[in-house]
Amino acid sequence: MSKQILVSGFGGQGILSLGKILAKAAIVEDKNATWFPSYGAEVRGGTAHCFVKISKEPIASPFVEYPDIGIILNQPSLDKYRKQFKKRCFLILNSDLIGSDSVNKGIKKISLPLNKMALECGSLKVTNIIALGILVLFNPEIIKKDSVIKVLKETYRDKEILKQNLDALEKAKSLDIKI
Amino acid sequence: MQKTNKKKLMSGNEAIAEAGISAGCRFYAGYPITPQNELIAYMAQNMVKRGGVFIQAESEIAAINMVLGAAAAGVRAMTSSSGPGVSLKQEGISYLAGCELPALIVNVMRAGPGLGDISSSQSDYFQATRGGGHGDYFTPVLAPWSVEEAVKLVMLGFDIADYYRNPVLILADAIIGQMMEPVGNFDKSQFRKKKESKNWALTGAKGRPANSIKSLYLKEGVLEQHNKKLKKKWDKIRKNEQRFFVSDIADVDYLIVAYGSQARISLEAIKMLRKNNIKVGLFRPISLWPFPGKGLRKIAEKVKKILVVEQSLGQMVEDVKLNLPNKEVYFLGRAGGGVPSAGEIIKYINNKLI
Repeated sequence: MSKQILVSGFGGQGILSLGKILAKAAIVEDKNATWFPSYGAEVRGGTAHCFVKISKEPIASPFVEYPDIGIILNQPSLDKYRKQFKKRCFLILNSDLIGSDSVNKGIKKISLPLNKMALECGSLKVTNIIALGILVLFNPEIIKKDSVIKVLKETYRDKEILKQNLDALEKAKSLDIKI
Repeated sequence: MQKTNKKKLMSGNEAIAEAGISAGCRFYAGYPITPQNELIAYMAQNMVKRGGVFIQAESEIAAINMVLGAAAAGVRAMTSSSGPGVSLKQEGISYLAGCELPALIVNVMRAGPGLGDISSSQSDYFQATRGGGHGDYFTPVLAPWSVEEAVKLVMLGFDIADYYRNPVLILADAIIGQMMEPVGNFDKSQFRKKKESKNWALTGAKGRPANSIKSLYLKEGVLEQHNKKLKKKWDKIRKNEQRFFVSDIADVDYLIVAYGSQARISLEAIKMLRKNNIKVGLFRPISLWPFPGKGLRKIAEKVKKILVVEQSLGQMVEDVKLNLPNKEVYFLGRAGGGVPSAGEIIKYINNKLI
Protein backbone atom coordinates (compact mmCIF):
# COMPACT_ATOMS: atom_id res chain seq x y z
CA MET A 1 0.00 0.00 0.00
CA SER A 2 1.13 3.50 -0.72
CA LYS A 3 1.77 5.98 2.08
CA GLN A 4 -0.21 9.16 1.60
CA ILE A 5 1.14 12.47 2.81
CA LEU A 6 -0.58 15.84 2.83
CA VAL A 7 1.53 18.97 3.36
CA SER A 8 -0.23 22.29 3.79
CA GLY A 9 0.52 25.80 4.96
CA PHE A 10 0.71 29.24 3.40
CA GLY A 11 2.81 30.21 0.41
CA GLY A 12 6.45 30.71 1.42
CA GLN A 13 6.56 28.12 4.19
CA GLY A 14 8.30 25.62 1.93
CA ILE A 15 5.25 23.42 1.46
CA LEU A 16 6.02 22.38 -2.11
CA SER A 17 9.76 22.04 -1.38
CA LEU A 18 9.08 19.73 1.53
CA GLY A 19 6.96 17.52 -0.72
CA LYS A 20 9.63 17.45 -3.42
CA ILE A 21 12.36 16.51 -0.93
CA LEU A 22 10.17 13.63 0.26
CA ALA A 23 9.55 12.43 -3.30
CA LYS A 24 13.27 12.67 -4.15
CA ALA A 25 14.13 10.73 -0.99
CA ALA A 26 11.73 8.03 -2.21
CA ILE A 27 13.79 7.78 -5.41
CA VAL A 28 16.93 7.32 -3.26
CA GLU A 29 15.18 4.32 -1.69
CA ASP A 30 14.14 2.96 -5.10
CA LYS A 31 10.48 3.54 -4.36
CA ASN A 32 7.77 5.00 -6.52
CA ALA A 33 6.52 8.47 -5.71
CA THR A 34 4.04 11.03 -6.95
CA TRP A 35 4.00 14.72 -6.05
CA PHE A 36 1.03 16.86 -6.93
CA PRO A 37 0.94 20.57 -6.01
CA SER A 38 -1.59 23.32 -5.78
CA TYR A 39 -0.32 25.45 -8.62
CA GLY A 40 -1.49 28.98 -8.70
CA ALA A 41 -5.14 29.70 -8.04
CA GLU A 42 -4.50 30.02 -4.31
CA VAL A 43 -5.33 33.23 -2.50
CA ARG A 44 -2.59 35.17 -0.71
CA GLY A 45 -2.75 34.38 3.00
CA GLY A 46 -4.69 31.20 2.27
CA THR A 47 -3.38 27.71 1.90
CA ALA A 48 -0.89 26.09 -0.44
CA HIS A 49 -0.66 22.32 -0.35
CA CYS A 50 0.85 19.30 -2.02
CA PHE A 51 0.07 15.60 -2.04
CA VAL A 52 2.88 13.06 -1.92
CA LYS A 53 2.44 9.33 -2.31
CA ILE A 54 5.24 6.85 -1.70
CA SER A 55 5.08 3.14 -2.45
CA LYS A 56 7.08 0.12 -3.49
CA GLU A 57 4.20 -0.71 -5.86
CA PRO A 58 3.08 1.39 -8.84
CA ILE A 59 0.94 4.31 -7.68
CA ALA A 60 -2.46 4.80 -9.29
CA SER A 61 -4.08 8.11 -8.35
CA PRO A 62 -1.79 10.96 -7.24
CA PHE A 63 -4.61 12.39 -5.10
CA VAL A 64 -4.70 12.05 -1.33
CA GLU A 65 -8.14 11.80 0.22
CA TYR A 66 -7.34 10.43 3.68
CA PRO A 67 -3.69 11.02 4.57
CA ASP A 68 -1.51 8.68 6.61
CA ILE A 69 0.63 11.69 7.46
CA GLY A 70 -0.44 15.32 7.70
CA ILE A 71 2.05 18.18 8.01
CA ILE A 72 0.06 21.30 8.80
CA LEU A 73 1.89 24.58 9.22
CA ASN A 74 -0.93 27.12 9.72
CA GLN A 75 -4.47 27.46 11.05
CA PRO A 76 -6.39 27.83 7.73
CA SER A 77 -4.81 24.57 6.52
CA LEU A 78 -5.97 22.66 9.58
CA ASP A 79 -9.45 24.13 9.24
CA LYS A 80 -9.54 23.10 5.57
CA TYR A 81 -8.39 19.49 6.03
CA ARG A 82 -9.48 18.68 9.61
CA LYS A 83 -12.25 16.30 8.49
CA GLN A 84 -9.91 14.31 6.24
CA PHE A 85 -7.68 13.25 9.13
CA LYS A 86 -8.99 9.88 10.33
CA LYS A 87 -7.90 7.34 12.90
CA ARG A 88 -4.25 6.29 12.86
CA CYS A 89 -3.27 9.43 10.95
CA PHE A 90 0.03 10.93 12.13
CA LEU A 91 -0.30 14.68 12.37
CA ILE A 92 2.49 17.26 12.72
CA LEU A 93 1.21 20.71 13.69
CA ASN A 94 2.92 24.09 13.96
CA SER A 95 1.65 25.46 17.29
CA ASP A 96 3.16 28.87 16.55
CA LEU A 97 0.49 29.44 13.90
CA ILE A 98 -2.25 27.07 15.04
CA GLY A 99 -4.33 28.18 18.01
CA SER A 100 -7.14 25.66 18.04
CA ASP A 101 -5.77 22.24 17.17
CA SER A 102 -8.65 19.92 18.04
CA VAL A 103 -8.88 16.96 15.64
CA ASN A 104 -10.71 13.63 15.43
CA LYS A 105 -10.04 11.03 18.11
CA GLY A 106 -7.42 8.37 17.54
CA ILE A 107 -5.00 10.64 15.69
CA LYS A 108 -1.36 10.71 16.73
CA LYS A 109 -0.72 14.42 17.05
CA ILE A 110 2.53 16.26 17.60
CA SER A 111 2.11 19.97 18.14
CA LEU A 112 5.34 21.98 18.38
CA PRO A 113 6.43 25.61 17.94
CA LEU A 114 8.06 24.97 14.57
CA ASN A 115 8.68 28.66 13.79
CA LYS A 116 10.56 29.16 17.06
CA MET A 117 12.54 25.97 16.52
CA ALA A 118 13.45 27.09 13.00
CA LEU A 119 14.73 30.44 14.28
CA GLU A 120 16.91 28.54 16.73
CA CYS A 121 18.47 26.80 13.72
CA GLY A 122 19.20 30.18 12.17
CA SER A 123 16.34 30.79 9.75
CA LEU A 124 12.57 30.75 9.61
CA LYS A 125 13.01 29.22 6.15
CA VAL A 126 13.79 25.78 7.62
CA THR A 127 10.41 25.44 9.37
CA ASN A 128 9.46 22.83 6.78
CA ILE A 129 12.60 20.77 7.41
CA ILE A 130 11.94 20.70 11.18
CA ALA A 131 8.55 19.14 10.35
CA LEU A 132 10.24 16.71 7.96
CA GLY A 133 12.68 15.77 10.74
CA ILE A 134 9.72 14.82 12.94
CA LEU A 135 8.23 12.76 10.12
CA VAL A 136 11.39 10.67 9.58
CA LEU A 137 12.06 10.37 13.32
CA PHE A 138 8.76 8.61 13.95
CA ASN A 139 8.10 7.02 10.53
CA PRO A 140 11.39 5.60 9.23
CA GLU A 141 9.40 2.93 7.35
CA ILE A 142 8.09 5.65 5.04
CA ILE A 143 11.38 7.48 4.47
CA LYS A 144 14.72 7.11 6.21
CA LYS A 145 16.56 10.12 7.55
CA ASP A 146 19.69 9.20 5.59
CA SER A 147 17.75 9.39 2.32
CA VAL A 148 16.58 12.90 3.20
CA ILE A 149 20.13 13.92 4.14
CA LYS A 150 21.31 12.71 0.74
CA VAL A 151 18.68 14.81 -1.01
CA LEU A 152 19.47 17.88 1.12
CA LYS A 153 23.16 17.57 0.25
CA GLU A 154 22.29 17.38 -3.45
CA THR A 155 19.88 20.30 -3.18
CA TYR A 156 21.86 22.82 -1.12
CA ARG A 157 25.42 23.51 -2.27
CA ASP A 158 25.86 26.52 0.04
CA LYS A 159 27.52 25.22 3.24
CA GLU A 160 25.74 27.60 5.60
CA ILE A 161 22.29 26.83 4.15
CA LEU A 162 22.99 23.11 4.16
CA LYS A 163 24.04 23.26 7.82
CA GLN A 164 20.84 25.06 8.78
CA ASN A 165 18.80 22.39 7.00
CA LEU A 166 20.72 19.48 8.53
CA ASP A 167 20.36 21.07 12.00
CA ALA A 168 16.66 21.52 11.39
CA LEU A 169 16.29 17.89 10.38
CA GLU A 170 17.86 16.80 13.71
CA LYS A 171 16.12 19.43 15.83
CA ALA A 172 13.22 17.28 17.00
CA LYS A 173 15.57 14.55 18.21
CA SER A 174 16.80 16.64 21.13
CA LEU A 175 13.28 17.09 22.46
CA ASP A 176 11.51 14.55 24.59
CA ILE A 177 8.43 14.22 22.41
CA LYS A 178 5.45 12.24 23.68
CA ILE A 179 2.83 11.22 21.17
CA MET B 1 19.38 -5.86 -11.06
CA GLN B 2 20.62 -2.39 -11.82
CA LYS B 3 19.73 0.34 -9.39
CA THR B 4 17.23 2.79 -10.79
CA ASN B 5 18.59 5.70 -8.80
CA LYS B 6 19.47 7.51 -11.98
CA LYS B 7 15.83 8.52 -12.10
CA LYS B 8 15.00 12.18 -11.69
CA LEU B 9 11.93 13.75 -10.18
CA MET B 10 10.29 15.69 -13.00
CA SER B 11 6.92 17.24 -13.70
CA GLY B 12 4.98 16.08 -16.74
CA ASN B 13 5.59 19.46 -18.34
CA GLU B 14 9.38 19.30 -17.86
CA ALA B 15 9.52 15.68 -18.98
CA ILE B 16 7.54 16.41 -22.16
CA ALA B 17 10.00 19.20 -22.99
CA GLU B 18 13.05 17.01 -22.32
CA ALA B 19 11.51 14.16 -24.33
CA GLY B 20 10.99 16.54 -27.24
CA ILE B 21 14.63 17.66 -27.22
CA SER B 22 15.81 14.05 -26.75
CA ALA B 23 13.68 13.01 -29.72
CA GLY B 24 15.57 15.46 -31.90
CA CYS B 25 13.22 18.44 -31.75
CA ARG B 26 15.36 21.47 -32.55
CA PHE B 27 12.71 24.15 -32.86
CA TYR B 28 10.26 25.24 -30.20
CA ALA B 29 8.03 28.30 -30.29
CA GLY B 30 5.36 28.98 -27.70
CA TYR B 31 3.56 31.48 -25.55
CA PRO B 32 3.10 31.07 -21.78
CA ILE B 33 -0.14 29.84 -20.26
CA THR B 34 -0.88 27.93 -17.04
CA PRO B 35 -0.84 24.93 -16.52
CA GLN B 36 1.96 24.27 -19.03
CA ASN B 37 4.44 27.02 -18.13
CA GLU B 38 7.12 24.61 -16.86
CA LEU B 39 7.25 23.18 -20.38
CA ILE B 40 8.08 26.44 -22.13
CA ALA B 41 10.40 27.39 -19.24
CA TYR B 42 12.33 24.13 -19.66
CA MET B 43 12.59 24.78 -23.39
CA ALA B 44 13.87 28.32 -22.70
CA GLN B 45 16.57 26.93 -20.41
CA ASN B 46 17.66 23.97 -22.50
CA MET B 47 16.81 24.18 -26.21
CA VAL B 48 19.54 26.64 -27.19
CA LYS B 49 22.17 24.77 -25.13
CA ARG B 50 21.33 21.65 -27.12
CA GLY B 51 21.77 23.38 -30.46
CA GLY B 52 18.15 24.22 -31.19
CA VAL B 53 16.04 27.34 -31.53
CA PHE B 54 13.75 28.62 -28.78
CA ILE B 55 11.36 31.47 -29.40
CA GLN B 56 8.85 32.97 -27.01
CA ALA B 57 6.51 34.20 -29.69
CA GLU B 58 4.28 37.27 -29.52
CA SER B 59 1.20 35.06 -29.61
CA GLU B 60 0.05 31.47 -29.97
CA ILE B 61 -0.87 32.15 -33.60
CA ALA B 62 2.66 33.36 -34.32
CA ALA B 63 4.11 30.35 -32.51
CA ILE B 64 2.22 27.74 -34.55
CA ASN B 65 3.13 29.49 -37.80
CA MET B 66 6.80 29.56 -36.77
CA VAL B 67 6.49 25.83 -36.18
CA LEU B 68 4.99 25.47 -39.66
CA GLY B 69 7.99 27.28 -41.11
CA ALA B 70 10.49 25.13 -39.22
CA ALA B 71 8.62 21.94 -40.18
CA ALA B 72 8.65 22.99 -43.85
CA ALA B 73 12.44 23.27 -43.58
CA GLY B 74 12.55 19.66 -42.39
CA VAL B 75 13.26 20.31 -38.70
CA ARG B 76 11.51 18.47 -35.90
CA ALA B 77 9.39 21.26 -34.43
CA MET B 78 6.97 21.60 -31.56
CA THR B 79 4.77 23.99 -29.65
CA SER B 80 2.66 23.74 -26.54
CA SER B 81 -0.19 25.53 -24.86
CA SER B 82 -3.42 24.99 -22.98
CA GLY B 83 -7.10 25.25 -24.08
CA PRO B 84 -7.45 28.95 -24.97
CA GLY B 85 -4.03 29.00 -26.65
CA VAL B 86 -4.65 25.76 -28.52
CA SER B 87 -7.88 27.25 -29.90
CA LEU B 88 -5.77 30.07 -31.35
CA LYS B 89 -3.41 27.56 -32.93
CA GLN B 90 -6.16 25.73 -34.84
CA GLU B 91 -5.74 27.70 -38.06
CA GLY B 92 -2.06 26.78 -38.13
CA ILE B 93 -2.74 23.12 -37.33
CA SER B 94 -5.18 22.97 -40.24
CA TYR B 95 -2.48 24.46 -42.51
CA LEU B 96 0.06 21.91 -41.23
CA ALA B 97 -2.38 19.11 -42.10
CA GLY B 98 -3.15 20.67 -45.50
CA CYS B 99 0.56 21.10 -46.26
CA GLU B 100 1.29 17.59 -44.95
CA LEU B 101 3.88 18.83 -42.49
CA PRO B 102 4.95 16.91 -39.37
CA ALA B 103 4.92 18.73 -36.03
CA LEU B 104 4.09 18.05 -32.41
CA ILE B 105 1.49 20.15 -30.59
CA VAL B 106 1.05 19.70 -26.84
CA ASN B 107 -2.19 20.66 -25.11
CA VAL B 108 -2.05 20.53 -21.32
CA MET B 109 -5.78 20.91 -20.82
CA ARG B 110 -7.40 23.32 -18.39
CA ALA B 111 -11.04 23.98 -17.68
CA GLY B 112 -13.21 26.00 -20.07
CA PRO B 113 -15.08 27.27 -22.02
CA GLY B 114 -13.54 30.66 -22.64
CA LEU B 115 -10.68 31.62 -20.36
CA GLY B 116 -12.20 29.25 -17.79
CA ASP B 117 -9.77 28.44 -15.03
CA ILE B 118 -6.35 26.83 -14.66
CA SER B 119 -7.48 23.64 -12.95
CA SER B 120 -7.39 20.21 -14.57
CA SER B 121 -9.90 19.22 -17.20
CA GLN B 122 -10.41 16.95 -20.19
CA SER B 123 -12.59 19.45 -21.96
CA ASP B 124 -10.74 19.55 -25.30
CA TYR B 125 -11.40 15.96 -26.40
CA PHE B 126 -13.80 16.96 -29.17
CA GLN B 127 -11.48 19.68 -30.46
CA ALA B 128 -8.49 17.34 -30.45
CA THR B 129 -10.11 14.28 -32.00
CA ARG B 130 -12.21 15.98 -34.70
CA GLY B 131 -9.44 17.88 -36.45
CA GLY B 132 -10.00 21.04 -34.44
CA GLY B 133 -9.53 23.59 -37.20
CA HIS B 134 -11.29 24.10 -40.53
CA GLY B 135 -11.28 21.67 -43.43
CA ASP B 136 -11.36 17.92 -43.75
CA TYR B 137 -8.53 16.59 -41.61
CA PHE B 138 -7.52 14.65 -38.53
CA THR B 139 -4.53 14.66 -36.21
CA PRO B 140 -3.37 11.60 -34.30
CA VAL B 141 -3.92 12.30 -30.58
CA LEU B 142 -1.92 10.63 -27.80
CA ALA B 143 -2.95 10.89 -24.13
CA PRO B 144 -0.39 10.01 -21.41
CA TRP B 145 -1.42 8.86 -17.91
CA SER B 146 1.98 9.26 -16.25
CA VAL B 147 5.11 11.36 -16.54
CA GLU B 148 7.01 8.33 -17.81
CA GLU B 149 4.43 7.59 -20.48
CA ALA B 150 4.39 11.26 -21.52
CA VAL B 151 8.06 10.83 -22.43
CA LYS B 152 7.33 7.75 -24.55
CA LEU B 153 4.38 9.35 -26.31
CA VAL B 154 6.29 12.50 -27.22
CA MET B 155 8.95 10.33 -28.89
CA LEU B 156 6.32 8.16 -30.55
CA GLY B 157 4.39 11.29 -31.55
CA PHE B 158 7.36 12.70 -33.46
CA ASP B 159 7.82 9.34 -35.20
CA ILE B 160 4.16 9.18 -36.22
CA ALA B 161 4.27 12.80 -37.39
CA ASP B 162 7.32 12.19 -39.58
CA TYR B 163 6.08 8.86 -40.92
CA TYR B 164 2.67 10.13 -42.01
CA ARG B 165 3.72 13.75 -42.61
CA ASN B 166 0.99 15.02 -40.34
CA PRO B 167 0.75 17.09 -37.15
CA VAL B 168 0.34 15.02 -33.97
CA LEU B 169 -1.25 16.14 -30.72
CA ILE B 170 -0.25 15.23 -27.20
CA LEU B 171 -3.40 15.68 -25.11
CA ALA B 172 -2.40 15.85 -21.45
CA ASP B 173 -4.49 17.20 -18.61
CA ALA B 174 -3.24 19.65 -15.99
CA ILE B 175 -2.75 16.84 -13.47
CA ILE B 176 -0.26 15.09 -15.78
CA GLY B 177 1.47 18.38 -16.59
CA GLN B 178 1.83 19.50 -12.97
CA MET B 179 2.46 16.24 -11.18
CA MET B 180 6.02 15.06 -10.53
CA GLU B 181 7.18 11.46 -10.75
CA PRO B 182 10.51 9.69 -11.03
CA VAL B 183 11.46 9.39 -14.68
CA GLY B 184 14.61 7.92 -16.10
CA ASN B 185 14.66 6.86 -19.67
CA PHE B 186 15.13 9.53 -22.31
CA ASP B 187 17.06 7.16 -24.53
CA LYS B 188 15.64 7.88 -27.95
CA SER B 189 17.13 4.82 -29.65
CA GLN B 190 14.60 2.44 -28.21
CA PHE B 191 11.61 4.43 -29.46
CA ARG B 192 12.72 5.69 -32.79
CA LYS B 193 11.93 3.83 -35.97
CA LYS B 194 14.09 4.42 -38.98
CA LYS B 195 14.59 8.08 -39.64
CA GLU B 196 12.27 9.33 -42.35
CA SER B 197 13.96 10.96 -45.30
CA LYS B 198 12.59 14.47 -45.63
CA ASN B 199 13.33 14.93 -49.31
CA TRP B 200 10.19 17.08 -49.59
CA ALA B 201 11.59 19.76 -47.27
CA LEU B 202 12.43 23.30 -48.34
CA THR B 203 16.18 23.22 -47.92
CA GLY B 204 17.33 25.14 -50.98
CA ALA B 205 16.86 23.71 -54.48
CA LYS B 206 20.46 23.88 -55.65
CA GLY B 207 21.14 20.78 -57.73
CA ARG B 208 17.63 19.35 -57.44
CA PRO B 209 14.12 20.13 -58.66
CA ALA B 210 12.33 22.70 -56.49
CA ASN B 211 10.00 21.46 -53.74
CA SER B 212 6.67 23.09 -53.11
CA ILE B 213 4.69 23.07 -49.86
CA LYS B 214 1.22 24.61 -49.86
CA SER B 215 -2.37 24.03 -48.87
CA LEU B 216 -4.01 26.16 -51.59
CA TYR B 217 -5.33 24.23 -54.61
CA LEU B 218 -7.53 26.40 -56.82
CA LYS B 219 -7.53 24.46 -60.07
CA GLU B 220 -10.73 22.51 -60.59
CA GLY B 221 -10.63 19.00 -59.14
CA VAL B 222 -7.10 19.29 -57.78
CA LEU B 223 -8.12 19.90 -54.18
CA GLU B 224 -10.48 16.93 -54.29
CA GLN B 225 -7.60 14.75 -55.44
CA HIS B 226 -5.54 16.13 -52.55
CA ASN B 227 -8.41 15.35 -50.14
CA LYS B 228 -8.60 11.79 -51.47
CA LYS B 229 -4.90 11.37 -50.92
CA LEU B 230 -5.28 12.65 -47.35
CA LYS B 231 -8.24 10.29 -46.82
CA LYS B 232 -6.01 7.36 -47.65
CA LYS B 233 -3.63 8.60 -44.98
CA TRP B 234 -6.40 8.87 -42.34
CA ASP B 235 -7.56 5.33 -43.22
CA LYS B 236 -4.05 3.99 -42.82
CA ILE B 237 -3.63 5.76 -39.47
CA ARG B 238 -7.03 4.45 -38.29
CA LYS B 239 -5.91 0.95 -39.15
CA ASN B 240 -2.37 1.04 -37.77
CA GLU B 241 -2.19 3.50 -34.90
CA GLN B 242 -4.88 2.45 -32.41
CA ARG B 243 -3.36 2.12 -28.97
CA PHE B 244 -4.82 1.22 -25.61
CA PHE B 245 -4.00 -0.20 -22.18
CA VAL B 246 -6.07 -2.61 -20.09
CA SER B 247 -5.95 -3.67 -16.46
CA ASP B 248 -7.94 -6.19 -14.39
CA ILE B 249 -9.82 -7.70 -17.34
CA ALA B 250 -9.19 -11.42 -16.74
CA ASP B 251 -12.56 -11.80 -15.00
CA VAL B 252 -14.66 -8.71 -15.39
CA ASP B 253 -18.32 -7.68 -15.04
CA TYR B 254 -17.98 -3.92 -15.28
CA LEU B 255 -15.56 -1.94 -17.38
CA ILE B 256 -14.39 1.62 -16.72
CA VAL B 257 -13.26 3.53 -19.79
CA ALA B 258 -11.11 6.55 -18.95
CA TYR B 259 -7.96 8.26 -20.23
CA GLY B 260 -5.13 10.41 -18.88
CA SER B 261 -5.09 11.18 -15.16
CA GLN B 262 -8.71 10.11 -14.86
CA ALA B 263 -7.68 6.55 -15.77
CA ARG B 264 -5.27 6.51 -12.83
CA ILE B 265 -7.92 7.72 -10.44
CA SER B 266 -10.25 5.07 -11.89
CA LEU B 267 -7.62 2.37 -11.34
CA GLU B 268 -7.43 3.41 -7.68
CA ALA B 269 -11.22 2.88 -7.47
CA ILE B 270 -10.89 -0.48 -9.25
CA LYS B 271 -8.30 -1.68 -6.72
CA MET B 272 -10.65 -0.82 -3.85
CA LEU B 273 -13.71 -2.37 -5.54
CA ARG B 274 -11.77 -5.56 -6.26
CA LYS B 275 -11.13 -5.92 -2.51
CA ASN B 276 -14.90 -6.23 -2.11
CA ASN B 277 -15.05 -8.79 -4.90
CA ILE B 278 -16.65 -6.44 -7.39
CA LYS B 279 -15.14 -7.34 -10.73
CA VAL B 280 -14.25 -4.08 -12.40
CA GLY B 281 -11.66 -3.60 -15.12
CA LEU B 282 -10.03 -0.67 -16.90
CA PHE B 283 -9.86 0.15 -20.60
CA ARG B 284 -7.66 3.16 -21.25
CA PRO B 285 -7.39 4.63 -24.74
CA ILE B 286 -3.84 5.87 -25.33
CA SER B 287 -4.61 7.06 -28.85
CA LEU B 288 -7.79 9.15 -28.66
CA TRP B 289 -7.74 9.52 -32.43
CA PRO B 290 -7.76 6.99 -33.87
CA PHE B 291 -10.06 5.79 -31.10
CA PRO B 292 -9.12 2.18 -30.21
CA GLY B 293 -12.60 0.87 -31.01
CA LYS B 294 -11.41 -2.51 -32.18
CA GLY B 295 -9.83 -3.31 -28.81
CA LEU B 296 -12.76 -1.90 -26.87
CA ARG B 297 -15.37 -3.92 -28.80
CA LYS B 298 -13.48 -7.13 -28.16
CA ILE B 299 -13.15 -6.62 -24.40
CA ALA B 300 -16.70 -5.26 -24.06
CA GLU B 301 -18.11 -8.59 -25.32
CA LYS B 302 -17.55 -10.20 -21.93
CA VAL B 303 -18.65 -7.22 -19.87
CA LYS B 304 -22.11 -6.49 -18.39
CA LYS B 305 -21.98 -2.71 -18.19
CA ILE B 306 -19.65 0.10 -19.13
CA LEU B 307 -18.83 3.26 -17.19
CA VAL B 308 -17.06 6.16 -18.87
CA VAL B 309 -15.37 8.61 -16.47
CA GLU B 310 -14.12 11.97 -17.70
CA GLN B 311 -13.10 15.39 -16.45
CA SER B 312 -15.75 16.81 -18.79
CA LEU B 313 -19.52 16.77 -19.16
CA GLY B 314 -19.31 13.94 -21.66
CA GLN B 315 -17.09 13.86 -24.74
CA MET B 316 -15.21 10.56 -25.12
CA VAL B 317 -18.40 8.81 -24.00
CA GLU B 318 -19.78 9.51 -27.50
CA ASP B 319 -16.98 7.51 -29.12
CA VAL B 320 -17.59 4.67 -26.65
CA LYS B 321 -21.30 4.64 -27.51
CA LEU B 322 -20.53 4.76 -31.25
CA ASN B 323 -18.46 1.62 -30.83
CA LEU B 324 -20.84 -0.19 -28.47
CA PRO B 325 -24.38 0.51 -29.70
CA ASN B 326 -25.80 -2.54 -27.89
CA LYS B 327 -24.19 -2.00 -24.50
CA GLU B 328 -25.42 -0.14 -21.47
CA VAL B 329 -22.99 2.79 -21.26
CA TYR B 330 -23.06 4.95 -18.12
CA PHE B 331 -21.28 8.26 -17.67
CA LEU B 332 -19.69 9.99 -14.68
CA GLY B 333 -18.09 13.34 -15.36
CA ARG B 334 -17.27 16.66 -13.79
CA ALA B 335 -16.22 19.91 -15.45
CA GLY B 336 -14.88 23.27 -14.34
CA GLY B 337 -11.90 21.80 -12.52
CA GLY B 338 -13.92 19.11 -10.78
CA VAL B 339 -12.15 15.76 -10.83
CA PRO B 340 -14.22 12.61 -10.18
CA SER B 341 -12.51 11.05 -7.14
CA ALA B 342 -11.97 7.35 -6.51
CA GLY B 343 -14.62 7.62 -3.82
CA GLU B 344 -17.16 9.13 -6.22
CA ILE B 345 -16.47 6.42 -8.81
CA ILE B 346 -16.98 3.66 -6.23
CA LYS B 347 -20.21 5.24 -5.04
CA TYR B 348 -21.49 5.61 -8.62
CA ILE B 349 -20.74 1.98 -9.47
CA ASN B 350 -22.36 0.72 -6.27
CA ASN B 351 -25.47 2.83 -6.77
CA LYS B 352 -26.03 2.80 -10.51
CA LEU B 353 -24.32 -0.19 -12.09
CA ILE B 354 -24.73 -2.99 -9.58
